[in-house]
Amino acid sequence: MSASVTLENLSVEFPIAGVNRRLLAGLKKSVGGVISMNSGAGGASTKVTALKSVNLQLRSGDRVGLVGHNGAGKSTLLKVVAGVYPASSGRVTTTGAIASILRSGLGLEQDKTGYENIFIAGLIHGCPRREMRKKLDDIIGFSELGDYMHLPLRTYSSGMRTRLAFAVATSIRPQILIMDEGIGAGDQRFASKAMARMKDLIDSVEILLVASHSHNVLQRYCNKGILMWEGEVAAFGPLAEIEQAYEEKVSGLADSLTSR
Amino acid sequence: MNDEAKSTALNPGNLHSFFDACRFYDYWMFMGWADVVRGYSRMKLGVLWVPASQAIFISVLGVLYAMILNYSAESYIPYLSGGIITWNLIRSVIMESGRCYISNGRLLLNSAISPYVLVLRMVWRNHLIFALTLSVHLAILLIFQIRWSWEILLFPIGVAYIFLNSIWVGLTLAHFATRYRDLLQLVSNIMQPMFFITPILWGHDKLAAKAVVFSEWNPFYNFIELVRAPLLMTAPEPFSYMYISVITLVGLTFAVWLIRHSGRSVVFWL
Repeated sequence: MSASVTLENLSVEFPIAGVNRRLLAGLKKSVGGVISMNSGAGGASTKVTALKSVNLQLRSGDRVGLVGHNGAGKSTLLKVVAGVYPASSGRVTTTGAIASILRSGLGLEQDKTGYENIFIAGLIHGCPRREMRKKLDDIIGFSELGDYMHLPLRTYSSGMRTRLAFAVATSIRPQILIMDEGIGAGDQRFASKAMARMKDLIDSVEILLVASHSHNVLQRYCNKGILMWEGEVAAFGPLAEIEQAYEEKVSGLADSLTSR
Repeated sequence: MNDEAKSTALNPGNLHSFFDACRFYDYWMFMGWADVVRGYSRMKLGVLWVPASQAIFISVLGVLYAMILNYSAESYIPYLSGGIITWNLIRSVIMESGRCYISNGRLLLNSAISPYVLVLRMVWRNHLIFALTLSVHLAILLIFQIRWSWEILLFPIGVAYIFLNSIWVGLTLAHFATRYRDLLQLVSNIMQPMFFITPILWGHDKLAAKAVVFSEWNPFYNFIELVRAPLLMTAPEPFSYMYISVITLVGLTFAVWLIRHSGRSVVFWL
C-alpha cells in the first residue's frame, strides 16, 4: 500500500484564554495567524486562525519543502499532519506509518544511561522496546558514544547528547516523515556523517514533509514545495517555482512597505 | 512510526485513544518506575528511602499519639500505618494529577504521544510507591504479631478500586487544571485539611458518635477503609463497597464523557 497524505478543507484555530482583549482589539495586522474575537451567546472567545481551508494531496515520492515567513503556518501544518494538533474543521487522512522529528532530545532522562535513553526516545517516537532492540547496534555505532552508553546522560557534553538524539531519531523507518527545520548533529566531522545518514533516512521514506528556511536543506532533500502565506497554501508545485514565488512575494511585500 | 505504534496520530477526543494509551504500557510502566527512581538517584539507599521515611514517620507519630492519647500501641500503630500509606497514595494521585499535562507540555506539543499515557504513568508511579511503603505495614504487622486472617484477601480488591478511581481522577484533574490553572492551588488547599478531617490519625477505637459526620459520607474515609480494613485483618463495611462502587461508576463515566467532549482541546491549553 503506498503512502498518502490528504488534507481536505483543513482549518486549525487556537483558542486563547486569558488575553487582554482591549490590547488585542488594537492589533490590526501583524506577523502571524489571524486573530479574531467572537462575542457570541456562549461568552466571548479569542482565536488565532493558524491554518484556514487548506487542501492538499501528497503521494508516494513527494518530498515537500514548506516555505513561508515566521507565523505563516508551516509548523502548524506539520503538527496537524503529525497528529499533534487536531483539526478544528476539515479532515486529515494519512495512509502509511507516520513519524515526526519536530524537536530533538524530547523526553530524555538526565539520570538514565545513554542506553536506557535510546529506549525512552524510541518509545516517544512510537517504537516499542523490542523494535528498538534491533536498532541498538546501529544507534550505538553511529553515535560513537562507546562506553559512555552506560553512563548517565548528565555526564554527556551537549554535542554527545545531540548525537544520541539524532542517532535515535534517524533510526526510525516510517513511510511518511514529518520534520521541522534541519535538526542539529554535533561537530564538523560528525556533521558530514550526519548528513549522509539523514539523506539515507529521507531516501527510505515515501513522503517527506519538511519546513525550512534554508535554501540548502530544501535543495538537498526536496523536489516539491509549498508556499505558506497567512495560514493558507498560496502555491504548491516544483521546488524551484515555489522558492521563486516566495522571493517575489517577500520582495513585493517589502516594496509595498517602502512605498507607503 | 510503524504499524505497532499504538500511541500515534489518534485524535485524543476519541475513546480509542485512551485504550491505545493503555496498550502503550511499554512507555508508562517504564517511565513510571523511572519517575520513582529519579528522586533518589545518586543516593546509597536509593528508593529504600521511600519505606524508610515512612517507617520513621509512622513510628514517631505512633509512639507519640499512643502515649498522649493513651492508646495501646499494638492496636493503634498498625491502624495508623495502614491509614497513612493508603492516604499517601490517594493524596499523591490527586495532588499530582493536575500537572500531568502541564509539566509535559514540550513533549505533548512536539510529538504525537497520547496525553492519556502521562496520566497512566502518574497513576502507575504512585502505585509503585505504595507497594514500597506497603513493606512498612507488613513489618509492623509482624512486629505486633497481628494474626493473619482471610479478610486480607479483600486487600487487592481495595487497591483495584483505588487504581480505577485514580484513572478517572487523573484524567479529569489533568484536563481541568491545564485549562484552569487555579485548580492546582485549590486542590492542594483542600487536601491538606482533609488529612485531619478524615479518620487516619484518630478513630481507631470506636468512632465517637459526634465524629461520624467526618467519616460516614467522607469518600476519603471509605476509600481508605477498603484498603486499611483488610490490612488489619477485618472486612470493610458493605456500605463502603456500595458507596465507592457508585463513585467509581460515576467518575469513570464522567471521564469518558470528558474525553469525548473536549479531549482534543487539551493540547491548545498548554
